[in-house]
Amino acid sequence: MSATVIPNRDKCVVTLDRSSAPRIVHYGENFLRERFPEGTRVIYPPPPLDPLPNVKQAIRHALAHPEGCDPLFALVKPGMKVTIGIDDISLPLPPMRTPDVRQEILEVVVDLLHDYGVDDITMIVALSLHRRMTDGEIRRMVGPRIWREFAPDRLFNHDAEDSENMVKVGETEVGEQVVLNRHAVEADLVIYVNVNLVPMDGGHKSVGVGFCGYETLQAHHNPETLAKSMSFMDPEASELATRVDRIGKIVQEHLNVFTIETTLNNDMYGGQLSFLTKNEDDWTGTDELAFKSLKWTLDKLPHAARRAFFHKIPAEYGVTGVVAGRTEAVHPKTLEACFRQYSVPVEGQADILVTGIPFLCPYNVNSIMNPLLVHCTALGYFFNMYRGDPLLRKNGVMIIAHPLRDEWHPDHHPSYIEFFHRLLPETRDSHKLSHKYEQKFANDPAYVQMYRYGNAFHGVHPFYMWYWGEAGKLHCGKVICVGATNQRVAEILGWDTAPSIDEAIGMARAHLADPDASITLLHHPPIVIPDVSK
Amino acid sequence: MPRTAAFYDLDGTLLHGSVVDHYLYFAKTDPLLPERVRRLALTVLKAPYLRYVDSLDRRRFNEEFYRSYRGLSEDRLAILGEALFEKVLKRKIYTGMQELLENDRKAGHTQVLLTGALDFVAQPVARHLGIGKVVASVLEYGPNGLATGVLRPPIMAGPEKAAWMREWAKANDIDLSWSVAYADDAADLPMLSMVGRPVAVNPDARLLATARSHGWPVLHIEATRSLTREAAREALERGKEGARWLRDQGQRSAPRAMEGTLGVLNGLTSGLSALLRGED
Repeated sequence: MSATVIPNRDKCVVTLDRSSAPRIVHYGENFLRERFPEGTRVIYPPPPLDPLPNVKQAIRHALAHPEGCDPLFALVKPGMKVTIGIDDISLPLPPMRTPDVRQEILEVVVDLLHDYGVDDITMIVALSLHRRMTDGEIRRMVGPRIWREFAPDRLFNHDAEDSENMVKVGETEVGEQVVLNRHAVEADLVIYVNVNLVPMDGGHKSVGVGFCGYETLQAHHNPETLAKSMSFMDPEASELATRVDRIGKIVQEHLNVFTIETTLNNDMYGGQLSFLTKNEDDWTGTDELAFKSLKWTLDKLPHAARRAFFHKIPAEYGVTGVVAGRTEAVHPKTLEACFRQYSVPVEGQADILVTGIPFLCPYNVNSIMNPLLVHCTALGYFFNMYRGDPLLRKNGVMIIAHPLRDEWHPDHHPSYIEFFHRLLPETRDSHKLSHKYEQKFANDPAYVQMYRYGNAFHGVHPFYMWYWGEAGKLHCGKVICVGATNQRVAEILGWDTAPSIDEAIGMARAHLADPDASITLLHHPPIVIPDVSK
Repeated sequence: MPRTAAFYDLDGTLLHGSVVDHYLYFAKTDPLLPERVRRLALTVLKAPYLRYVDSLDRRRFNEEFYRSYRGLSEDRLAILGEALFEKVLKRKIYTGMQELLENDRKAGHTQVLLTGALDFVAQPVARHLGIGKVVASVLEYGPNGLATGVLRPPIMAGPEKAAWMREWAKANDIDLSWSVAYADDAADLPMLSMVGRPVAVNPDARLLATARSHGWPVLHIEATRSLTREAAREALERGKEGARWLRDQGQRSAPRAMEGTLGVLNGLTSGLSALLRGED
């Protein structure tokens, strides 16, 4: 069941003139407000789709009318062993207000399983090599009822380094190893609870990546694959999606998977912050006052307090669709719902692409947006926010805004620090880094220990953050960071810096030797995915 | 291609405790009661001074502290070293460290236990953990076979550890820049600073601050805490059992109630002793 209201996209692409108001650009835990040259094209996220009025009813409907298989109640029988996989805290961004949609799904599913005599239920947070979620985070995600009934013995984090509980399922026709969590492999039925924030989520990625470890990830989390994924957000053009699907076919052959996928609307900044999603030319006096008050407050706060402030505001996301059934039948419908929310038709590429980098990406929920994550967000996620042709032309200039502090979360990202300060000054070449150092970090005992028993991302994860920007790095002629407070950090990343957007645009036009080079401002988040045609 | 090594401190890193615990074991197992009392009393009296010295200089602490061993025989210490390991140290080894040692072996590191503890204490631990090389403090013995209380140089503490690592690495073609060292105490900063991949294990405040400022990995190994937790749980369970007995049996008559109260006290006492055993 999906929402049917498709909003008008006419107002999502705006061309600035001489009288246009200055635009808001995300700048870490703060904002810049900058005037852009006449003729700048600004792309805004589409307004939020109407949420489903009754989420639990939609979940029950999806379970009873699944795609490609019998209803869930017909698939279960008394005494069977069920493993439920759950997407981790990297989705959605920011975490949604409670009840999280995963909680609502789990409550419906568990009631149904109990009603049909299924009591052997194990729930696993399918985090692959992400950091383990804390008890508090899991409890918030699944809700108190599920937590009380299942934690800690029957609700826990996936551990890809627990060799006794990782089982080889098979290998693809090109020899990719498929090694997954034993609980999933040995279950009579695997139910996967997904939140599909962007089109690269869900599908075969849920089980095939969420329950796997380093051995399987090597098949697609590598420089070659990611360089060929243009873009991640367009599954048909993504080598990453192709390889994940290949692994998914093996999963499908050996595991009985029932997928429940959900889509959300774009209501990221609700209530007091809703002006952040509006065209600045349409701001009311109240919007102006709200922004000035927010900016004044943020400017006065130390950045750690600003970070704490933003991380405490949950998103007001509404659920727009719930689809359940066999993965390959479910996912196209999910993608359709995703693009219905995010896609904006755009004609022509830009010579210069400007985008602010916010305080959050999938890997720093309740944590620090460190320089490597800024790289991943800029050249990985934001560069890839397109379908069709890239929004930025080949060898164009990408301008980002972020303070770029040399700041790291020591317990969440320990291996990032060594990667950034030890390896990147030696080489930024992903292939060299992969060949020379990836294994060393992946198998480093201290990092393995911190991943398994602490709350650290796996030792190899910083490599993935670097590879994630591979396509963007090869495509962009130059990257300029506006407002970087640490010059050395920008140098390590291979970026130029500028004190203001105006100067950055000047530098970009000089680099392109074109004083009239076209400029596009991607005014996000919330998420927008331009459908670009030349 | 040069080889790499993993260097481990002992006390506080591989296992819970300190060199003082080792000496206390030797002192309390002395066959002569007056000697036992004297040694234990002296240790208690000297404790504040030793703590102060340790805060200034680990090498000086070792020199001062190991004087307490004067008069203990070499043979006895060798035998008691094994007994100390079997009875005390073996269960103080952090379970998480065993997994880490195994992974270090798989990563191809040559493993070295580098400790200020005495050789007869460190050897059994290293043997048990499969660490091939042990470098530890060595006592000097007189012609009568009794310890003089003086350490033979080099005294393995602070900069001496770093100097030994440098020399040994050079002689054995070890690449220190990709080697790893584990320690829990700021006194081991020279040792940690020698390698490219230092790791702080359950660090003290000073080492934690240094590790944080340099971005070194920090491991929090929880074995000891879980031991304590288990013991506390046992205490609680026994207390609860007594309380249940009191509720069920002791409500009606005073003597029975008294018996029940004693049951609770007994439960709590045995629970407390379990807690202490867990801590040891």
